[in-house]
Amino acid sequence: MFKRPRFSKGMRFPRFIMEDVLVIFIFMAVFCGVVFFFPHLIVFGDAKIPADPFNTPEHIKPEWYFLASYQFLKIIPSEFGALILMSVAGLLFVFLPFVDRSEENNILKRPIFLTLVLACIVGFIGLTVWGFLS
Amino acid sequence: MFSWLSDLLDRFIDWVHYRTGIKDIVRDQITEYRVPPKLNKWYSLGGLSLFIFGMQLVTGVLLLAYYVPSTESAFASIQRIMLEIPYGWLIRLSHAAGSHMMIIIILLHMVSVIFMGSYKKPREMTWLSGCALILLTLAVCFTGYLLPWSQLSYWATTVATSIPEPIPVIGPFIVKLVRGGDHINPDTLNRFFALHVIVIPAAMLALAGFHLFLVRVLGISGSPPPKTKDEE
Repeated sequence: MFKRPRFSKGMRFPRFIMEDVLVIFIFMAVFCGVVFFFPHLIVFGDAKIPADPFNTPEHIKPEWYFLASYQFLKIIPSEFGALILMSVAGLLFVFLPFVDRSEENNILKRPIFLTLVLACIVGFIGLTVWGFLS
Repeated sequence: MFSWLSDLLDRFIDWVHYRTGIKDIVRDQITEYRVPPKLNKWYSLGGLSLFIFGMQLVTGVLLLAYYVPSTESAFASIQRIMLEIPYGWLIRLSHAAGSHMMIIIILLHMVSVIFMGSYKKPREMTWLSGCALILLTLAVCFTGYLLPWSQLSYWATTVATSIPEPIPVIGPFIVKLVRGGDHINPDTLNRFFALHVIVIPAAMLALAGFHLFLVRVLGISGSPPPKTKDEE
């Protein structure tokens, strides 16, 4: 079995918890800021009207985290083809540790992989913004 | 003066230790546990997503106290939570904002794992359970989105549930299965409610436990700068 490294000079008990607590506090500051001062970012527009199955709103869009895949489906002419492309991408992503078997941990020494990862991130953000604007 | 109290406590701990081995667990997992001396803030994102998940559980249970899962009363019950119930607005807005935040933090967590190469051997199973957790998080957000029964949730869910339609043969069946009919209807709300409040959160709890178990068994991954030679 893989033997876990011991890190005898590493961080001790309360310290590594406090590192997480610090990040949680920073997060809570942002979170409370949104909840108290910008509630209209969370509940807006059609979310304030009860559902009406007989009245279709003009611009229907899914939540922002589904917007990239939604936009991808819209721009690929064949819907079924787009679904297949997305499933393949999803499977590649899920099985990443088995696809990428390189021993090198430092991404800066792997320019091709780094480019691919950055392209995926830019693609996701780009499609989301595109879906948001269109 | 209180030595009898600490004596009593010691005897209680010994009693539990004899039956569970609690002292060994506390020693190995807390007092003698060490993590690499210099970790960046990205390493805290996993703990942060666990914290948000806990917050969603608490606010979610509180919302259940007043939310009514029926097409006639769902929207009105949310209005009541927002306007009448003391601090209901806080709980509801926190639950809604928490869902967005959780997805942002989980995506950042995933990106940092990719950049640090932490998914590599021997952490493949940690990565797989993480992927399942992302899918479940998206599913729990998706099902929760319909529950207020607002115009936005109704139509956004209509659009999203129509996505599998172009799949040959089984596409229309999947759509019908998810919706519980040809269109979004009261049955859709019921099945989304059941998935949102118990099925998916229970699965997430179990998977998150497994994920954390693996993190503790394998230790925290070395990141660039490369692995320390600090093994004993």
